[in-house]
Amino acid sequence: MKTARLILLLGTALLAVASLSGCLRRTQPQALFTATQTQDEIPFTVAFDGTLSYASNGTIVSYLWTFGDGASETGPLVEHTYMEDGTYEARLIVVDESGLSTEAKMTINALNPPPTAGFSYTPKSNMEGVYFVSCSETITFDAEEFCSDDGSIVAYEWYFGYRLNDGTPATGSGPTVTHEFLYAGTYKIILTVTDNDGGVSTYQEELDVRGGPPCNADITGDVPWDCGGGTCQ
Amino acid sequence: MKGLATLLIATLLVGAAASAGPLEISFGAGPNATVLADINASIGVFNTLIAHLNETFDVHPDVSGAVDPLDPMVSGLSFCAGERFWLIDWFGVGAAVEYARSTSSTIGFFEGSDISTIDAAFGLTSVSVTLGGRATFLDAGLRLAVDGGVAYTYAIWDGSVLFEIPSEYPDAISGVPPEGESRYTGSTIGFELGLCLSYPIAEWFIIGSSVSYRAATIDSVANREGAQLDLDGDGTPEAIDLDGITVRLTISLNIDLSLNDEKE
Repeated sequence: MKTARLILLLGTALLAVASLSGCLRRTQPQALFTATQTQDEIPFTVAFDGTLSYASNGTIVSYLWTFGDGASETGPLVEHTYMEDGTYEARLIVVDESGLSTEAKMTINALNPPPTAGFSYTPKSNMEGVYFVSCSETITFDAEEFCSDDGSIVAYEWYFGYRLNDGTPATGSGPTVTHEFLYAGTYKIILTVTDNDGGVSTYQEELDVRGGPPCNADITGDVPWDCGGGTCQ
Repeated sequence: MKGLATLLIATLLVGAAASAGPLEISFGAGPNATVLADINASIGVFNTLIAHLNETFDVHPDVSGAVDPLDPMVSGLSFCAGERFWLIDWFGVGAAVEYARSTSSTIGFFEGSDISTIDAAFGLTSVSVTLGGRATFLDAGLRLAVDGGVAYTYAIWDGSVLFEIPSEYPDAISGVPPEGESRYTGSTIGFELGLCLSYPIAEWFIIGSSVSYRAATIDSVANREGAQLDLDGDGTPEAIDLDGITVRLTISLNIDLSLNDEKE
């Protein structure tokens, strides 16, 4: 019977040890955080709050943040300013009293601010507060001093608001272009500028062209002509 | 599974052929406690986020509603059935099948500029086939025995998650649980060790109770597409940790397989 009791004792001890090993197993802390925003144009500041993180076995003793752009910070509440455009992974690593750690992450999109676009044109006339240009006159469009960017503008594309006889749009490129409008009418001039980071902006302005068609205009062609009652100059 | 079934049948036949001793058929049921550490840690994430949203919108003038937290998945009911051949008076071998299920769910709404629903329902079903032995070491009216065995466990995880955060919530939250509905399955080999106390009402009818510890962890479960279960969306697959204690109340029928009357 002594053997039986020994077996009983061993069996009970094994059962207790096995049970306790399951119950006493340490679990990792949980990292959770909030961010005031995940996408904006640079430069912008994000406030991160890691206080949602918790440890089942005690308390969080360390909060380590990395923002994906090489910068790091410690503490439950931090702020970070993204200066360069790109996609970043902000990470929070929390460590509990037992030294166990875990991390949470969030994707931050720092956007390149698009360039600003604008232009002016000369020569132009002013009649009762309304600006207009004349048919067949060489108009100079200048975008250089009206466009700006945090980097540099690498492309200026112009559309002069109508199509040529062959159906292709009347376009131009470069910071300064010249163009002649053969027919009177209202043209929607569209300028598209692209910066060195791929940011694109457009600016459009209506241009009032007055006067009749030039004497060498192809008035028998397919180009719609509406001189608004004007005469051939 | 085919190999396991073959092994099971072979065990039963060998046992019967070797001993022609009593065959014990048992049925039982009882509470089943599991650790499910990863799963409950993920449920903790759900509950932390739910509590945070409840707290935020408790004082928000434009949003009403609250969501109850999920209960941890630590217990359920299990059912078992098995056969055991007593090779000698105090030692028998056999096989048993156990079915266990535990669930947890919650549903609630936040009502602001639109209605945001948080609806999470989880269910874990496990089926174990245990091959093992029982050694009786005390037989004085009451019988005390120790059980041990190797268990093959197949687990099915069913999950359905809808986690809509009201648009009035101002920030972005890391670790928002991934939404969707899917079934994940996996299996593992573990072991089981326990103590059993039984009382023979008659020579052929025994009632008993047992408490046993089970060690079985499925490192990860996968759905049909092969994706692993990541309940809290932290990028780490959740293990199905079935370690735990099962208490069973059983009734057993003893069938004497001896071919002559000499057998006691």
